[in-house]
Amino acid sequence: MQVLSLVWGILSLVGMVVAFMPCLGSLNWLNIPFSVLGLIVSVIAISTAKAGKSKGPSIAGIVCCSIAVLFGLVRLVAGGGVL
Amino acid sequence: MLPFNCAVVAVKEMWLTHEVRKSFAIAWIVVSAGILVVFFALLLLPPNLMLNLAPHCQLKAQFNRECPMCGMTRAFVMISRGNFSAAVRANRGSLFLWVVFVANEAAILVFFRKHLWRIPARLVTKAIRRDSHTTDLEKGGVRCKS
Repeated sequence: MQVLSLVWGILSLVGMVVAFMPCLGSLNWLNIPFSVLGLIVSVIAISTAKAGKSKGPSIAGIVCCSIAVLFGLVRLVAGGGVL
Repeated sequence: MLPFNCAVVAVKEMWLTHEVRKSFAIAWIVVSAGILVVFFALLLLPPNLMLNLAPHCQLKAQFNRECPMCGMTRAFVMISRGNFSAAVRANRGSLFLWVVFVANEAAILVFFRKHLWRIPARLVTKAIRRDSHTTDLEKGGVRCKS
């Protein structure tokens, strides 16, 4: 679950970077829900992590997904939802 | 400075652990698989369909100005047909991007050549183990030690 949340976070960031390219802003309509799902998975990963085990990857997943959601929203608004 | 120091310590502790390396490897494989799908689509699908699937540039439609990505789909279609000069004419950065994508695919084959060949073997071994486990249970309730 820890690995999954970090993978999800990395993929969200990759999607965010691609969606920052000109004319691909509408990709954020897919990337933001994907990142929100990643946030949920990361929160579940943190809550189900066993005591004594590192929670670092799931925290990183939360941070990456949050960045992707925030910047994706900013990009979506800046591009008027299409550009 | 305290939150910054805490963040630095957390990153140092987590950096390049087994889980992080595994996560980056999986993400890399997923992204490369996506690129491979695009390459195959360019080769197999008719060019008109690809051009219709690509998003239309809103900057060009609304303000009649070309963006840096304008003509990229056309250029990639040209490259897949072997027409490199027309691709460069369609978009100047297309050839560079195509080389980057091909280099990425080559790099993933080089880095994971051992693991990639092992994946099918592992899957077969797992399936055989699962199968033998279920047949043992059916025969006489022999319990698996693992």
